[in-house]
Amino acid sequence: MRHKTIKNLLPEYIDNELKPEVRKAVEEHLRKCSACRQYMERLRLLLEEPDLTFFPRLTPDPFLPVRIRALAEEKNRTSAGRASFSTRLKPVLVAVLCIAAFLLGGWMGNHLGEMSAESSPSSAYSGFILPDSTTTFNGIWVEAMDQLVGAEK
Amino acid sequence: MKAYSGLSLMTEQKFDFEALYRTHAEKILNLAFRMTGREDVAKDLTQDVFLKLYEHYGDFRGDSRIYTWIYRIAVNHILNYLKREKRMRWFDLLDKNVSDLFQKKSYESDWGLDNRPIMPLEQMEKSQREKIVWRAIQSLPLNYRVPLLLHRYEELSYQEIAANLNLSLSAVESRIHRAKKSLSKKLKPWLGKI
Repeated sequence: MRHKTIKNLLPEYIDNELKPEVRKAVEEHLRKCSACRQYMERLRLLLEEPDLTFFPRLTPDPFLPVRIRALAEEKNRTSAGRASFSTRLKPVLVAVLCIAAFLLGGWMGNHLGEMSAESSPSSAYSGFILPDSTTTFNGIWVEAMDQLVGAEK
Repeated sequence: MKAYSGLSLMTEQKFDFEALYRTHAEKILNLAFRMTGREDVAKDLTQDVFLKLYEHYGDFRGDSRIYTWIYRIAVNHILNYLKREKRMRWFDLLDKNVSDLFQKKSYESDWGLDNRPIMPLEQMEKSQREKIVWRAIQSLPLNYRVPLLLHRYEELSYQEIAANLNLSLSAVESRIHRAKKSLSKKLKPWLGKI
């Protein structure tokens, strides 16, 4: 085996991941070649022997829980404030939607009523009934029912 | 394990949280330090992790050890920080002039990886050798770096790394193997000539 091939196989050799026949060939080469042997020893030294004392041991801040609690409570207050605003807004939105629906319904009924009155004058009550000062609800209801019965006949 | 939620349980949560912090803070702080190499960042990340724990303590289902749960949250939070930091490094590069970039040597030279060794590896102190390796690890892509850091400095098994990073066992094996391969190329100046 050439030096370069051995060099490329060394990480796997150190990790014991080579097939037995390849491992044997690498070992044979290492026995004969001192340069490759030194290269492998140095690589093993760097890869496989970590110095766990390299990082100084840090000590946690004993007051951090106090700060965390304060941070969390502040976050909670902010989100609670946001929630109460949306809670206050909800009935207003519902009221606005109801008014809009009522107005739209009135407009559509009136508009459809006019359209059907134009096409067939006899069915004036088939659309939306818009009360005026001269009609009473009972009168309108009776007339509407008469109209329906007449239409069925 | 009790499920905590809402403001009304804050008082109850407080006592558990203090104990939780006392037991695990040192491990999490030092994990963050070893993963990032920066004390100030490690402290900030520890604060973030414990704030998360304080807010989501009720999410712990009790199907693993509490330390495993905390450790997983911490590893993922640190990983997200490292990803963000990588993006920020690109923005920093965009801010610099093109001529500045040409004048400066490669990123690896910033880490001192292309410096010629001043003495043989065997004569160096263990901590000096570790500094060389650590710098080389920092220049690896994130998906190789994080599993290798967890294996080398946290002494986690491949299975534990797989569980923490939500990877398959074979993915962890292959990433660590590639990391070592890439590391051996970066460490060439200290290994001698063949």
